[in-house]
Amino acid sequence: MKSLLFILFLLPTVLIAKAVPERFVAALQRALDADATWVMTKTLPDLKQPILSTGQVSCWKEKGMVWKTVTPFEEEIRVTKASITLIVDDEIETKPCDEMPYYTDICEATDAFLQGETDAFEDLFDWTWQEDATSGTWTMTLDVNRRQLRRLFKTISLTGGETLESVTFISGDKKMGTTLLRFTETKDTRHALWRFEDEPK
Amino acid sequence: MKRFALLGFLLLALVGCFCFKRPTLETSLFALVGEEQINLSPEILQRGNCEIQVLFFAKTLEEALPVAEAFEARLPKSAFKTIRFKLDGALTQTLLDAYQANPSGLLAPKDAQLLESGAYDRIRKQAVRKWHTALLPLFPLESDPFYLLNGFITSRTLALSGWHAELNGVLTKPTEEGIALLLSLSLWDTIASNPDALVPIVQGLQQSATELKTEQVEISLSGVPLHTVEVAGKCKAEITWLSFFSVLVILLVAWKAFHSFRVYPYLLFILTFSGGVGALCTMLCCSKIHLLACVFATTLLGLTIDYAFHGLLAKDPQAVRKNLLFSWMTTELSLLPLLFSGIPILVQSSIFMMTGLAATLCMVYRTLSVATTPPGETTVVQVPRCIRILKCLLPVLFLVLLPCLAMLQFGTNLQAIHAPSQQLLDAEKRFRDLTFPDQQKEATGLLIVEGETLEALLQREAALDLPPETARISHFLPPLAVRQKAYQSLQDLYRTQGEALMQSLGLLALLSPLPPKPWTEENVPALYLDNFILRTANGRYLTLLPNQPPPATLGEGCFYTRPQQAMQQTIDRLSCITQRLLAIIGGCLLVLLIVIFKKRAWKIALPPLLAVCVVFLCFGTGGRTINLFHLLACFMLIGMSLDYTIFFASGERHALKPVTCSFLTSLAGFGALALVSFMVVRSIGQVFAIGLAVSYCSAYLLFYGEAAPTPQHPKTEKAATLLGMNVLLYGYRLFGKGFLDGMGVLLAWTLWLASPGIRQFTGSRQRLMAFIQSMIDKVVVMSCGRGQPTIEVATDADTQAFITAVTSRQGVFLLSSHFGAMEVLPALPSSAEVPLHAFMHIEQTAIFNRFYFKLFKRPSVQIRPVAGFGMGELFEAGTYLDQGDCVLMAGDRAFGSSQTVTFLGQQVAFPKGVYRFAKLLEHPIYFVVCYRIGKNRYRLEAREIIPNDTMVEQFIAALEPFVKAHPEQWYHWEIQP
Repeated sequence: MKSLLFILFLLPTVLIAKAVPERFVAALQRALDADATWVMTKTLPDLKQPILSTGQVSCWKEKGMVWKTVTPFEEEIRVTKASITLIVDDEIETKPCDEMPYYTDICEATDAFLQGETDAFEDLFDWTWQEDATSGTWTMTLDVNRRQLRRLFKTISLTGGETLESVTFISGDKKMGTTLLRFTETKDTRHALWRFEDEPK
Repeated sequence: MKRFALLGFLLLALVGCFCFKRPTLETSLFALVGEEQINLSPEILQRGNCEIQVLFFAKTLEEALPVAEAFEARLPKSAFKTIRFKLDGALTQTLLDAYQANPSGLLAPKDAQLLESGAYDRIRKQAVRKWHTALLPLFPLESDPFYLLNGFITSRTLALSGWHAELNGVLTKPTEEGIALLLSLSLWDTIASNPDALVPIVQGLQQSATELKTEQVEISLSGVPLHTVEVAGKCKAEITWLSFFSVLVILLVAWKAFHSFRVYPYLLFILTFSGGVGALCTMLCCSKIHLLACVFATTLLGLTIDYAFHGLLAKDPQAVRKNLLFSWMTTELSLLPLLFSGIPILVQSSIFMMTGLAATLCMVYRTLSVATTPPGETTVVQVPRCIRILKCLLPVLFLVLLPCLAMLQFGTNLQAIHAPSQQLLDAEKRFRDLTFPDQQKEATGLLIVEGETLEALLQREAALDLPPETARISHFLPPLAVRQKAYQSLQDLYRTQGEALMQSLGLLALLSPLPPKPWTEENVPALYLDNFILRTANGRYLTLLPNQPPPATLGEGCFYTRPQQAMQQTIDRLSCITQRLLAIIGGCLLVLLIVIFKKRAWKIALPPLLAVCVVFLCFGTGGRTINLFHLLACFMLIGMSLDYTIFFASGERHALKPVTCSFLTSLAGFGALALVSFMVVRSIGQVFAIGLAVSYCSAYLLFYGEAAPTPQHPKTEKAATLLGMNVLLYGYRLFGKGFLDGMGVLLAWTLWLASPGIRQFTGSRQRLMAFIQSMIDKVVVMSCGRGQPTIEVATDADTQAFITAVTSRQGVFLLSSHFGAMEVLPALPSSAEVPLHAFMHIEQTAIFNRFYFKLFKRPSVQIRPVAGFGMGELFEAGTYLDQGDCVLMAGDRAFGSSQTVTFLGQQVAFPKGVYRFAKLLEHPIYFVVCYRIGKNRYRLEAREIIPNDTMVEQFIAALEPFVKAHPEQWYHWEIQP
């Protein structure tokens, strides 16, 4: 759960003084307040074939995120500023935020980013930007320059157009493998996974 | 030479002992009373002595971080063993690698419960779920297929004692005003235990804090090293000034007493010797010496000076020997209880003082002459009425004060040892409140767990019943026994669920779990070893759990202590012991005094007792309390006070001067300690300042009239050494007469300042200088060397007649005197062909004359040493005169038969024989003088003496005008010009 947090909240990342491309910022800000379905392909060297999962994600800008796995099993993770809740087979396990290292910092940085501070995550990554004029897609490659995070992943590669379409996590150690997430925005729903009592007052 | 040899041997022994024993210097306040008294091992204290915490307070991390980074950049990196500022990924990597090498049995609590309950199916399903999440694992699949190690890592709190690790690695904690950022420093042991190295480093940190703080960011420093520097920094400056002042007072008192600088080398020698012996014995007996023991030990220096003064000013060496022995015995007896007190600082101080004082006594004994002076007349001194009244009042005063002692308050709180500044106290409180916010600090203590091996330590710590939120090392390194138990279940897990897991994930292979290995220093990351684990000198492992409430039970290898309370209890106990010892030693000394001094014992005991009473009443009443250090100083006060009374009471008539000198030097040296800011030293100084004054004044009053002032007697001087003369000779040969003239000026000043005897003999420095110059000229003339003086011959008739008589070989009898320097006469060119026979009495300047004759190169001058004038000398002189040679004899040196004449207004003895000689020999007789008229210039004058019965009167009439005109060239010391 902690690592999931790292992934999701480090998505909207930019760096240093050079201006982050507006298309990237717009796509991420849109993703952080939208619903989508996802397909995950996890490749590990010790497996015969990659691990496949599917599910849904619902991001709410003021509230947080709900990550739901549909296949091969059902599982729901609710991430808010106060805690992370895991719901599996009607069992609910909640961890408060102060037990999660860097959690509060990342939450605050994400909020700042969503408010328009594009340098909220400055000096965490070195980034490179590529645009394909033909297809209209972009690729943002983020190389982690914080040693604390490199154990989790070395590079994050994001692609998209108007929306965020995929995220690839590449570990520095080949034994840890790679994870590819593909997103498809659900245009006809918004905050679908959030329950009424979750709505901000 | 013997003294130099002795000092050299002592120095060698000191250096050898230091190199072999390598004693360490303790500065810790806990070491003052002994770490074992407060149940803390030296390693624990050493760890505490090295840690400095720097806190940066600001509203936000963005404000605090740049200041903290600037502070960290200024740190002298070589001074610190570790600097914990930003936790970086390298540490994390090391930790994870260590766990990966030894993963079996490392389980999150929830996983451990599942494993123990046999819920293997759930563990497998949980693992499958985790492998299906987007997250990348911390460990590869082959190492941790069931995701247990990953779970263990994420279940460990990364917070250190409640401090939160930021993404950039710094440790922070929220405060009421914003945020606090922590920077922890750990000094090297060698620096933390050396005040000279520590003080500049800590002062540098404080300066950085002062310069870098802003309106938005406040910086606070705390830790034991700051307390050490606060004390040592002030103490060092103060004690340096006080030492300078004490030395100055000793020098001035010595000058006033002896009017000579010659006593300084002796005092320096005896201080060095006694201090060296004391230091050698202390190093031989103690492997650790506390800094404060060195402060106490300076009382030895005062006692040494006292004994030295007594020895140097002794008029009756036998009496002084006896008194010194009594004084020494009583002082040693007063220090003896400290030797067996068991308190390290007291044991060290007493060894130093007792052995050093014994060495002092031996050395002073050696310098006392064995001759005794016959008992002189008893001095009858009129005692003024007020003194008589005071003498009677002193015992009454003592009896009045005695009951008041019942009101005394004894007590030593820790502020009597060290009262830190308010700034430091506030800094300590802020750090404590941040780190342990929810605990009752006064009710908590330190839990110590010890183990022969790392595993034993971890096992015992894990077995403690502590709150789960307590940060402890077994939280990060579960003991082997726990892991082995889990390992058995792990094997079952792998056996029963392995296949299913392989199918679920599509694993290529599933490796069996490795058996857990015990934790050792080689496979435990340095982060844990540095922060959580201590290694003792005997190879055991320790871990500390601070601010814990008292545990209900303590297992094997576990100890609980409240250091401050333990120290307070120890000090209270030591105070009680010291009070009893003081009473016992007072009683023993009283008995000893009664045995030695019988009826006079009360008089000798009264001043020290009165001094102790007054001291107690000053510090133990009116809301104040007598602390342990007041009591300890009383031991030394008694010893020094008895020194005064024993000497005053001895009947030694001249004791006032040495005792007064002792008192003044002791007061300057130890009483001045009352001005030091360090509480322990100040307490001792206060006792000495008041106690010494009371004991001296009361002893003086009690024994008034029994010790008369010491009359001044000039001391005789020793002759120059042959070595020194040879040095001057070689210098003359190399550099010429200018060298000798320069050395002569230096010698004149040195002798004038160093010797009251010479000042008395010569009467003026000009006379002394002229004498030295005449000696130099004599040597130059007789050695026929460079820089021969020029001699003018007077043009008066008598002088010209003399020259004619000499050159015409008439055989002239020359009568010389102690005016000028007749010995330069051979420099006169016209005298070269005429032999001169000088009949001289030379016993009194033996060393100079040996040197003189060695250089003697004038063939025309023959020195004839004589002890008296008889027929043999008469015939010999007559022969020379008949040959046309000259004969020279002194007309004013009385030896043999003499006559009393009036010369320079005094009745003095002049010889008879030389005038009879001159008359009998029937040759021209001339009074001749050769006196200095300028630099390297002399004048020769002669007066004819008519051989009749008035030859002496003629001689005096010729001589007196010259002496009156040039008194500085008159070198007859028994007849003053």
